[in-house]
This record gives sequence, C-alpha cells and structure tokens, in this order.
Amino acid sequence: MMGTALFFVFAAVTLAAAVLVITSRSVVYSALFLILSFLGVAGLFILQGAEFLGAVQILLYAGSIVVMFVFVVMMVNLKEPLVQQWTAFRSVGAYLLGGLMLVELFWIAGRARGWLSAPSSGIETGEGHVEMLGKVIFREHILPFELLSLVLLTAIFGLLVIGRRK
Amino acid sequence: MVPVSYYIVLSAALFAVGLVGVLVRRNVLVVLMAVELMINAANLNFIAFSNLHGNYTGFVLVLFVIGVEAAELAIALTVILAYYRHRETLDGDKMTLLKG
Repeated sequence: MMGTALFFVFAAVTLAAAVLVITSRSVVYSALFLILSFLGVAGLFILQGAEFLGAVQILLYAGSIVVMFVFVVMMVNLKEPLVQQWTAFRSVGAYLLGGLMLVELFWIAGRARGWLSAPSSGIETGEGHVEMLGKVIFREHILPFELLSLVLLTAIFGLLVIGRRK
Repeated sequence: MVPVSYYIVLSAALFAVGLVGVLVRRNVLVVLMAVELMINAANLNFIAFSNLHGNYTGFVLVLFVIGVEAAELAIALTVILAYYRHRETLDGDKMTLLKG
C-alpha cells in the first residue's frame, strides 16, 4: 500500500513538473522544474529497487546537467520569452501529434495488458544492488562500458574545439 | 509492488509531454530540456522492464544512457553558446542557415 501511494506521489510530481517545464515562460523556471521532474523520476527509480541509479539520477541530472543549463542561461541574454502562440497552426499540430502519440502508446500498452499486469518478479537483492550491477557491467557489458569512456573523451575534445573563442 | 503497467502509462505520458515540448517551444534550451524528459521516460521503461524480468540489463542500459546523454548535452549546450555568439538569438525557428 505504502509503495502504491508513493508511486502516485512521485508520478504526480514528475508529470506536473514536466508540464511546467514546457509551459514556463522563463527558462530559469523551466530549469528549476526540470530538477523537480528529475527528483520525481529518481524517487520512482528508488521505489523500484534501483537505489544506485536513483542516486546517480540525483547527482548527475538534478546536479550537474541542470547546472549546465543554468550556466548557459546565465551567459546568454534573452530578450523575449520565445513561446509559440497557442493558436498558431504549428502549435495546434504539435498538440495533436502529442495526443496521437499518447493514444498510440496507451493502445500498445493496452494490447500487452495481459503480461504487463503480472506482478514483477523483482530483482534478487541478496548480494546487494551495486555489487550485482558492477558484476553485470564488467562481465557482460565490458565493451560498451569502455566505449562509453571513449565517447566522453571525444565529447571533451569536441566541446573544447567548438567552445573556443576565435 | 506497483504493476509494471502503471510505469508504462506514466512513461508514455511523460514522453508525450516531452514531444509536445519539443514541437511547441521555440527556445532551443527548452527544447533540449524536453528531450531530457523524453529520455527520462525511456529510462523509466528500462527499469520497469528490468524489474519485470528480474535481470540487470535494463539497469546497465540506464547507466549507459545517462553517460551518453551527459556527453550529448555538454556538446549541445556548447553548440548553442557558439551559435548565440554568432547570431545573438536562441530562437529555433530562426536557425535556418542550412535551409532545412
């Protein structure tokens, strides 16, 4: 019961903050609501037994990524809020498309209801979550893990080159 | 334990919100934030299905997604800053240099 109540709390926070991210007129408010949304998702992660990923979510997303956004907002000088008119043709199309996407995803989820409503078996937590995670990464996914470090290195060089002032 | 379908529905809604954000907003920073929301929706699904099947692959995938996304976002924000230095605007509708 407790878990279900917590799920609805976190889900409501996540969704409401997400809607506020895309409707706020100020970019700084959007960034702050983005933190709230990330915190909600982190709560959902922890609720599902992914404590480590919840912590990573808080540290990386709510911490560093939003800080990067706020830094960029600080460096640029925005004169107008840059919000599409509600009545604009493109805006109406966007809402229609978003609604269509939602209906489509719900339809797919509804078709799979039979096995989706089965209670999840849950992960075995006998050995500890982080230990298992480390074992799976280093035994089965070692190549993508190493490639990820290459991606990060490339990103560092890339942004040094792109961000350099002429 | 909440059934997986709840998470699927929530993640679908979150994804739709992100999609609307990408399409509606003109400020490229907010468009990037909306992309973040969509990626988070995908991550939620990964964890939910990982729990459903009782193995750790989805957890590992989420870790990889977070890593790749941090790199992607750093590059994207740098490009936005460089663009702003040249053109003095963050309006996505005005970024038509490539005639796309």
